[in-house]
Amino acid sequence: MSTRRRAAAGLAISVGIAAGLILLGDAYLMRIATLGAIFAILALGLNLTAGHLGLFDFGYVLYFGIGGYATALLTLRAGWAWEAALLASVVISVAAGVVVGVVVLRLRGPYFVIATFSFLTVAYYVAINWRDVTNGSLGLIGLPAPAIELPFLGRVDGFSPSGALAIAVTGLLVAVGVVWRVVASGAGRAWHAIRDNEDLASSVGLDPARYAFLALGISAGLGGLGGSLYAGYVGIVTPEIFSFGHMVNVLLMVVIGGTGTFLGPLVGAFLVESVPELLRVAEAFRLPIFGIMLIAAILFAPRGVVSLRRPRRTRPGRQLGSSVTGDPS
Amino acid sequence: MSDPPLLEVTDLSRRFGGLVALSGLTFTVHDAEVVSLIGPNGAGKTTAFSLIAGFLTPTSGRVMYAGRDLAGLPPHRRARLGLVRTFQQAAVFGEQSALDCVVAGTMARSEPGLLASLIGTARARRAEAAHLDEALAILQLCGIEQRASDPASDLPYGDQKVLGIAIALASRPRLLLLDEPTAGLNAMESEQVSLLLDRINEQGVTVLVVEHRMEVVMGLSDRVIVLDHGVVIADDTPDRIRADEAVIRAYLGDFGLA
Repeated sequence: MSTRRRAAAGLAISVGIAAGLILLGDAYLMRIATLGAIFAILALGLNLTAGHLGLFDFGYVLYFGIGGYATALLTLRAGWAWEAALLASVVISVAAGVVVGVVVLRLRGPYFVIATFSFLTVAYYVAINWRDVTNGSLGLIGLPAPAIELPFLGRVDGFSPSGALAIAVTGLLVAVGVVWRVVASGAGRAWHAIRDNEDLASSVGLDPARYAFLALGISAGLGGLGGSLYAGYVGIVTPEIFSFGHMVNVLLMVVIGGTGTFLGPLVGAFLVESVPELLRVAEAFRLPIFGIMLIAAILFAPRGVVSLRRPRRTRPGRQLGSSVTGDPS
Repeated sequence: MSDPPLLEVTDLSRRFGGLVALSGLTFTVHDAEVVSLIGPNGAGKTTAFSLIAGFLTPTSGRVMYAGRDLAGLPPHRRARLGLVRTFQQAAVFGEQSALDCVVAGTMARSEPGLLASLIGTARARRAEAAHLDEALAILQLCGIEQRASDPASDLPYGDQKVLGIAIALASRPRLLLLDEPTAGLNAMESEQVSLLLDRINEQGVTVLVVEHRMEVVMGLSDRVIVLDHGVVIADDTPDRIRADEAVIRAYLGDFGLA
């Protein structure tokens, strides 16, 4: 129960910050928050495999790119409405995740990392070279801005900074709901068991392959959702969407925030998006700052920033404490 | 013993490159029996367990369980048929609480299924609550209920070994394979494990145990199978095994008979 409350509190704060920024009307801050919300979806998705299942998907932004390209192609070439393209992008990403899973889920440890990274690299070069479809390095330009109906706000339009932020936060809420649901379910328990001891998990009848596919599929779907929202927000999709830079960003968010925790990826995403911006430093200093953040996180908060709040679990001694309830964090 | 055996191992062999770990192992285990598998280090006991539980593929031979050939079935499928193993090293689910570890052991037989559990139907929630109650009862049976909310990795070694047995019990085994349940335990702890195994057997669970401590083996077993260099050299009641010349020679060399 305590996790449920923590998650609700985190969400309320995020929505509150978004609402505050919209009221404040600062377009620059809203831009940071919008990107933060979109990348938080990715961090949540990567955390399903890297944090909960224990397999570090080093090519995770593959699904980000697939979602982005699918949305661009469906809206620009096939003339689909943005909402339909977004849903289709998620479905296509899940399908891609399952196909990639057939290959990579046979592997563990460093082999899994290398195989997933290879898929990402291949996708990057396909996007550059398959010019008929992707328009090569120039990318696909001029995506229609998303627009949705929201309760209280009415029809919001992605061309305005506040509309874009509202849409991104809506996507994030959906992602949080999905992740909360699966992690709190039996699937979450099974993932943790497989992560902590795969042989023991299979010796009591849990099928590691089945649960790994589930994790990879959902995580790919969230990647596709993030990619679709990102493409709609920036209005252009180039092969850079598959770049290692995005991959490093998402990895940093998960590691700095806290792998395998619920709030960690959310906190990490907003830290990684906002800290370099808020310090108002030149683009050139982004990577050194990330490096310092990562080193600081590993030194002072190896379980992520969110673990700083509560010190190492205290012993309840001989009585059964409230932690006896299913706590998925 | 006219019933067909619960477990029937026939001519089971496993080679690792040039090394013959197990050669032509043949034995049976009947329902509700406690059978011990003993033998000097390197006799092939753990290899036999891994082959029976599906963690290794045999080079040749066959494992029949409840009238069914297990060839090609992965470990989790065998576990769902009730054939469950424990591990020689204390094996738990990391920092999850002891209770959560045991709940994880109940997961595979969760009735409402994965989809219902994802959607969070009322039935799935009831099943989850039932699993918690059952897990607590198993911790009580194993005598470590006061550790329920402690992280498993923080438990003393003895309690971790017992927790490993509790996790296995949570999957409701019909045949429990225990790989050295008292290894690394002191005399008192191993006595407790021995009593626990008795209790488990009384509940109708068939037990096949690899064990080094002779007081545990002799006190617990209906039958003892002795392996040496990958071959069965004796298969008899504890009393007769004690007096068996081949067994004494395997353990003590020719000195034992002098």
